[in-house]
Amino acid sequence: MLRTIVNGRAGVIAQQIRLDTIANNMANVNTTAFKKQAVSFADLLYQEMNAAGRPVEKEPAAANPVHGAGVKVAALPRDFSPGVQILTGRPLDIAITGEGFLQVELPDGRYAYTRNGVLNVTPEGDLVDGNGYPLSPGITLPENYQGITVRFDGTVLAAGEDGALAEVGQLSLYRFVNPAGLEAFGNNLYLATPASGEPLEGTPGEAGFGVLRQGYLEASNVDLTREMTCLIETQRAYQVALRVIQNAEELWNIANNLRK
Amino acid sequence: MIRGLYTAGAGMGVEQARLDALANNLLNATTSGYKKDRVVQTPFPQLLLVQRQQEAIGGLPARWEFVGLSNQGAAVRRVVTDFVSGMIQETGGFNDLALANRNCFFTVSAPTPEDPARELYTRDGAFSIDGEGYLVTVRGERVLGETGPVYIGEEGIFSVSAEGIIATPGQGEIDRLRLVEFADPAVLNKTGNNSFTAPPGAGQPAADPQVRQGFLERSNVNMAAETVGLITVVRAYEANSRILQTHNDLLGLAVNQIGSLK
Repeated sequence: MLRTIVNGRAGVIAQQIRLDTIANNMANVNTTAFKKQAVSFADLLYQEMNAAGRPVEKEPAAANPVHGAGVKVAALPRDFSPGVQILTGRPLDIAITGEGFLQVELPDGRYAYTRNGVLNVTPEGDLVDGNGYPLSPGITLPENYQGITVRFDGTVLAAGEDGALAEVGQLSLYRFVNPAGLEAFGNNLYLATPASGEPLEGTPGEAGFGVLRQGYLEASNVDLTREMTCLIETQRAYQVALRVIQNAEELWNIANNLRK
Repeated sequence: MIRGLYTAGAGMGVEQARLDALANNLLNATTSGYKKDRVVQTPFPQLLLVQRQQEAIGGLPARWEFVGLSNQGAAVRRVVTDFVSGMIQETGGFNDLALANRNCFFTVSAPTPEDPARELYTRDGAFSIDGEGYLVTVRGERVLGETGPVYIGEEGIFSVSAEGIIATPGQGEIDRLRLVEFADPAVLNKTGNNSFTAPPGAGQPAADPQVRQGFLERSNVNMAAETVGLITVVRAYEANSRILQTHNDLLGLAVNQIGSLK
């Protein structure tokens, strides 16, 4: 019984993690460029029943019967499928159509990757992301620029005081063999890990890389209908794990009252 | 009467084993590719009861007389895994693969220090591509093709035909998934992590695997049936406990009342 209670607890914990994940997805339904997470479960190790004191009378040639140990969360893979692109009209909003991330430099010198293209300009004219981290490779706008144009291939043009466009830099995109292996750093930023592989640099529009769209932002890829159905499933699975504990508890109660 | 105590106790033990199996099924009702277990129970070997006749007065040898057969309660015979297909659910992810043929399995490489060539079989097709470009399971084990681990490369995207042939947009056909079929899935043993082991040579190359890309196979646990099973477990356990109590009462009477003088 103790074993069943412990297994039931494993189930409750696993479903709790799934509930947390769904809650995080739903809370980020309006977060720009948010990528939802899924939960995948795996069964735990199997143990021979007779070791746990169950009466066993197996067929001579067969292996010992086994019983399982419940369930665990195997992975929380992040789904990097694209979100809807929303027209904002703001010249410094950049959406990436297709694969790729923008690279920013963190204050500690590491690089982080984001698909959130809400860019800003510092008083010095440097392009920074929504968190204030400078883009890498950096782009500096000239003084007294009148407008900014970002072409689909990442070329950044600034309009001077006379209205003439001049190229001031080039935005690069970075992609990963396994984006699901990226480490979420918060604030829409991701860090490269051995699981994701090294970042591969490319020009927007090159084979395997997306293109840039100025004046658009990528919305969250959370599908509320799917999250709601997962939520229902999780709630019921949580309930059934508790029911398992309850049943084991009832058996234990009977055993405790064998001799009154 | 004392034997009856142990018979009822063995019955309670079997119900515990059934509870373990049902609980594990219910807890894995949301695990991809999980296959439910069922406990098969059996009576313990029967005992032949014999009775020894009193020695006759004339010094004749004692006689043995057969009384009949009796057994010592129930035991677990084996745990059977039910390989019925689970629901095939659409996920839309290109790296989610399901096998519509219920006897087919993916082969993954899971080396251990003792056995570097260890292979496991799974029906959980929630795969991804690792940082080096190999197709892996959620636990990072490499999925095997016919020429070794499936290497997708930097493109990071692939398509799979119903026969298991993997192709990428850039390289065309690269490999074929090593899919095996078991004529008798009972040879498979669960190892946890949604995987099975099989004795060498038990699996045959799958003739018609029916790979479905963008789908995942859910658990084949039927919640209603398992919950009904839980109810019968609790009540059968209770009934065995009543038998045990009755035996206890009878023993109490035998010890305290038979032969007592009042």
